[in-house]
Amino acid sequence: MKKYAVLIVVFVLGTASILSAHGLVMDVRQESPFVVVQPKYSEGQPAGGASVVVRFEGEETPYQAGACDVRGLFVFSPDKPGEWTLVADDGRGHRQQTVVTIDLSFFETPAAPESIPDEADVITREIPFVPLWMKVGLGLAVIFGLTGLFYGFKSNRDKKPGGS
Amino acid sequence: MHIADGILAVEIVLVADAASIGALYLFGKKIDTDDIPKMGLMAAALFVASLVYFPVAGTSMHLGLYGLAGILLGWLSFPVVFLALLFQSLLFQHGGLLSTGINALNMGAGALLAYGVWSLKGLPEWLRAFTGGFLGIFFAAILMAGEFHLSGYGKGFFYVLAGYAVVAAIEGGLTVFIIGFLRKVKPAILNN
Repeated sequence: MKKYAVLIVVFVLGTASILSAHGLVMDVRQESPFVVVQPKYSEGQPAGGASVVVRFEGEETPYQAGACDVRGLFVFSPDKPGEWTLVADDGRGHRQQTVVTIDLSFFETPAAPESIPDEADVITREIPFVPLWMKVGLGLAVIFGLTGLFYGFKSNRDKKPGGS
Repeated sequence: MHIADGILAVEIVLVADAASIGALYLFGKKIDTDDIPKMGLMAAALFVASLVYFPVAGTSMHLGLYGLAGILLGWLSFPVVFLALLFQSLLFQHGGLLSTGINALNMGAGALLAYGVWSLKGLPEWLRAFTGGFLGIFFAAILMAGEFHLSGYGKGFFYVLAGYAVVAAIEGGLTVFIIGFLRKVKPAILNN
């Protein structure tokens, strides 16, 4: 029993860091000299009005903070290469954090776009690495499996003399 | 509805985790073997229900079925809500993993309130079902909005709460339909 308890703890702690994103996914496109960010809810609806805070690696003070427009778009222009942390929050409990790596080639792009890319130009970066149907199937399988195990365990215990 | 990690203070989240584990232990002791298949089915329903989305008031909301769980399972709805939330967090990223405890307390309280409403005698069954389904999610939303307000997070109590009345009304109607269906085909599954 202790072995299983240890395995469960290791599983939970091991997945905590990679699964700490919630409800929102973040579409990010680098369009030099801009980075276009679009937080969306899990089913794809843009999170219009969500706040976005941009920080450069290791810096406490935000580089930029603001809110997405009605299409859920937020744009900032990084001034140096490195890792930029973006935190989107809709003020209703949905939050997503992502890191964008800006390399030198971002600044070597000669021509700036004449306008900020439209929503239709934003390429969706698929954050989930497992298809939804597979997650649903996995979840249901585990829930029903646990149900069966628990049922068997309780049945056996009930059959034993003195069992509740 | 599902609170993400990093929104409430870590101390609050950890205390809620401990409290929900304590509640799991207490309610877990009430489980009879015959209840387990029903609990498993309800956990699966809650797990999948969160994928039914509604665009409401500029945000995205989804079904919870916490009221239905409370009506069908009574006190046992809490472990079911906890299990469903745990897997929603792990697989759908709905709510933070560390925040599973506070989410379970909020939504479990909604489910238990629904059970309380369902247990009221003297009211028509459809009214008890609707109120239970409505409060199952709306009471959880009130608790969540209150926690946000006390933590200084978000854009205001009523802003956070806005929209949940719509989803709660939908859930109330859905609960009336499901209870009516169960009353016809398998009345034994209803507690009273």
